[in-house]
Amino acid sequence: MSTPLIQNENFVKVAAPLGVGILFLLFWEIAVQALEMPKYILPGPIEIFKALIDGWQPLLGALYITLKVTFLAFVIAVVLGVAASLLFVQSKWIEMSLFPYAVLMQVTPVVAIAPLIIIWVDDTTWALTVCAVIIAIFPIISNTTLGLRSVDPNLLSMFRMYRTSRWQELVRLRIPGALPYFFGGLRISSGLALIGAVVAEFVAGTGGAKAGLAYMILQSGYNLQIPRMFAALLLITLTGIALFALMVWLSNRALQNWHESALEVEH
Amino acid sequence: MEHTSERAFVRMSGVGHRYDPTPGSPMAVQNIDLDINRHEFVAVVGPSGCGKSTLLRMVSGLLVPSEGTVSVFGKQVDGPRDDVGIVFQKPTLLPWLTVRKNVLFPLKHKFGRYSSQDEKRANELLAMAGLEAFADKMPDELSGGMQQRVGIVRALLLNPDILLMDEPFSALDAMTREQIGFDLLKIWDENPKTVLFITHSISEAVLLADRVLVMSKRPGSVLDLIEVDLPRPRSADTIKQPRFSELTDRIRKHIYEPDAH
Repeated sequence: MSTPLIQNENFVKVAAPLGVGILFLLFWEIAVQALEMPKYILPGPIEIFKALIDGWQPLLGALYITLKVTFLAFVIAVVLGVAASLLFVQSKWIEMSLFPYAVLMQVTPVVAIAPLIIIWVDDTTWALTVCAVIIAIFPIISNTTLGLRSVDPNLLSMFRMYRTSRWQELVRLRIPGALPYFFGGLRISSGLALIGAVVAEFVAGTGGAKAGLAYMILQSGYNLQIPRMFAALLLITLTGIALFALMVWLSNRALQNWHESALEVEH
Repeated sequence: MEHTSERAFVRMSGVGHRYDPTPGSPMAVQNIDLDINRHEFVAVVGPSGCGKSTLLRMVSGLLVPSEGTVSVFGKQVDGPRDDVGIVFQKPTLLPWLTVRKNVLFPLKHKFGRYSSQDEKRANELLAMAGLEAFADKMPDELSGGMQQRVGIVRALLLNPDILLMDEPFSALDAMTREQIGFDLLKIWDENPKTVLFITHSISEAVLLADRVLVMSKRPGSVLDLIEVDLPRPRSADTIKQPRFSELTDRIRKHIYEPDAH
């Protein structure tokens, strides 16, 4: 190799945070063992890993439930959010009349309305999904609407010179122009869908066969199974990272024709 | 000009516009009478906000004048026309299409497809604008001057009779600006068009145009219409001619001492 690995920026980009992480875990493990910390207060990484392996069956089951709610909520939020944006850009009147309610939904803490939703919606999975949708939909609406609106006025004039129909204007100008904004919204929204799924389940607190990772955390807390609690937490974090990575990959795929500057429209 | 006819190609008579339709509200532009001949290059100069762009939009059909009429070859303009190409102040390209696809976009948009003939013409025009090496690049990979050239090529592709240019070079640096002006003249020479060219640069107007319309402050009206009798082809040497300074001085007087004319 002509250049030392340490000078390779890509290598450092991965190795540096990885090193920090390993050092942190080492320190954690050593501190826990040196202080003889009881594992029901703070388990070491090894203990947590053991809990992950030992409890893989209930943990994976719970992960599946949480993932299901997250994906359902995310897909619904994208579909409804895009539909709302397309509706908003049809007329200033529609946007002015409805946008405040989108904001209202965003600013109301979902924890506060989750009990109501759980009463209203019989099926737990759907109740959790509704809560997660409420959290996840706003970035999609606001970003996509902004994207659809922020068309270069000169381009609009040009399209008008070609005597374009509103439909053509939407399909050929506004929608492609809004894509970077939309994908920016997707990244935020995917994380929020997961947060929504977890938060709603904390509130719902229902166990049984349909229990997700949040319930697993609650239950492990009651039983003082703190290593398992950490294991569940780890799974939630990993899911969030995976979702984010998936969104980055998706948007890079979709926007590969755009130059970097277009990709920088993120919020 | 060889095609000059008795009947003006573009005729503005008593054209005025107010953005606020209430009677008595201030006019943006008023009392514009101007006849432009076929294949003539007319530049419009004036202080910012004098309604130069409003004038151009009225010729394009994007804006219906609240007073007077604009007609093209005897037919009143009441909406966007097919035979008009337009170039804006900023390069108005679709960032998700390559340069060539941007140039061909009007055809694709209008007719849903383009022939290999069209593609050939696009390539020829791109070559004429010195852009053949950039045809497959994305707009963002080009400099501002190149992007603006792409915009001009796109406007020329449909071979419009009339080319409307709204301060097309104002976002460019001085050196690029001069070069692209000469390039435009070269293209115009090979594809004669009736050009209405809005600019706030007096020297640019004189350097490029057959006639220069000088507009007053808002509400914009005609202060002077100057025949530019400098020989063509124009080049960097044109600027050194005493006649060039005489003409620019005459315009400058209008702009800086509006009451002295």
